[in-house]
Amino acid sequence: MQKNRDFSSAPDEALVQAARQGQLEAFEELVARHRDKVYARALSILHNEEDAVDLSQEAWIKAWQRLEQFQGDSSFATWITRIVINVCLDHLRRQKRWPSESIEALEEETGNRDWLLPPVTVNPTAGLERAELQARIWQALGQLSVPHRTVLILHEFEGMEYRKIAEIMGCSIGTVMSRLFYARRRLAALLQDLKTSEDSKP
Amino acid sequence: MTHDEQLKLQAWLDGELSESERQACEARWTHDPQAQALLAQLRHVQATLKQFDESQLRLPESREFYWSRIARALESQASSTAVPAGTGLSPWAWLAQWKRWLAPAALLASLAAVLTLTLPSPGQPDYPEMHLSLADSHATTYRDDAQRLTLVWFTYPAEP
Repeated sequence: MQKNRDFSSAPDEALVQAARQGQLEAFEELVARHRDKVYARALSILHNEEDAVDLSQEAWIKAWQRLEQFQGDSSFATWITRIVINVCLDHLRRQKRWPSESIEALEEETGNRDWLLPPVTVNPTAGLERAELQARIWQALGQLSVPHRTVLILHEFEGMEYRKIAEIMGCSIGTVMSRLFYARRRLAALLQDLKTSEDSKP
Repeated sequence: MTHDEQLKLQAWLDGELSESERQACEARWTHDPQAQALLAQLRHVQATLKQFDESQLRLPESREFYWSRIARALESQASSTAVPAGTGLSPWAWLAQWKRWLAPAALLASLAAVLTLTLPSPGQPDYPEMHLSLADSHATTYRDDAQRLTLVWFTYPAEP
């Protein structure tokens, strides 16, 4: 591994090329540019700071090992984000925090628990300061189960289609649709509760 | 609305339906108050999530500290995989390579030893054995391994 250039102004593609040739400083620059995004994705899935730091670093190590596989079809940021998502999902599978096959879990998957409930109306901004709204959304996301939160994040924050989410999570498109629906309904209910408690303050 | 219809409505919102499906669903849901209410809810959730700013989720570590662990792992990988050109494996690397075979080899050796000690050897009969030995001295030997017994007869006077 070589160390010999200032890469701060080089585009990502040039940094990847240099890193492929063993220039560690080029890779360090890539890490510096995208580390917050990679960490944020890990944290949004895991909701645990320590694990998010560890797994985001593991993702960078894997990225270094797989630099040859980066074809440039997507941006480097997208590529490294996919890696950290996979690292997080592998970690959760190892930790057995992935859905069990219990009746309760299956009911949750198919939405049998609440699909007859009336829709809950949520006003996303009413009476909330920006920081407060951020905190409440984060708290509500944290109350979803890992598979439901992950589907929601991949769809809403990563903009992935159902098919891609199913591929990454190793499940059917039908399961993705059910999880997404359940996650949205649950989030709506959680945010409504938070709004109600806010409204009840003097 | 059935659950399948709810999922279809969600798929419509997410742009996951084909054009023909989309048109058919729109015609059906336009005047369905339940569908409209659900649609409003899903849109509100989408709008709420759009306001979440992920850039506020920043690493709690400095750039240098965060990078140092990654760098250590990469340096460690590089040193463990690097082989000096033309020199082949160093004695330590050679030993390290062979060490991974030691455990299975030891297991096999232990298994062989246990089998040797517990099973009767193929040449060892499981019945008392009588045979003549030292034919010139006219001695007869009787051996029973099960009883751990060996008897030797001598004829006296020795038969010619």
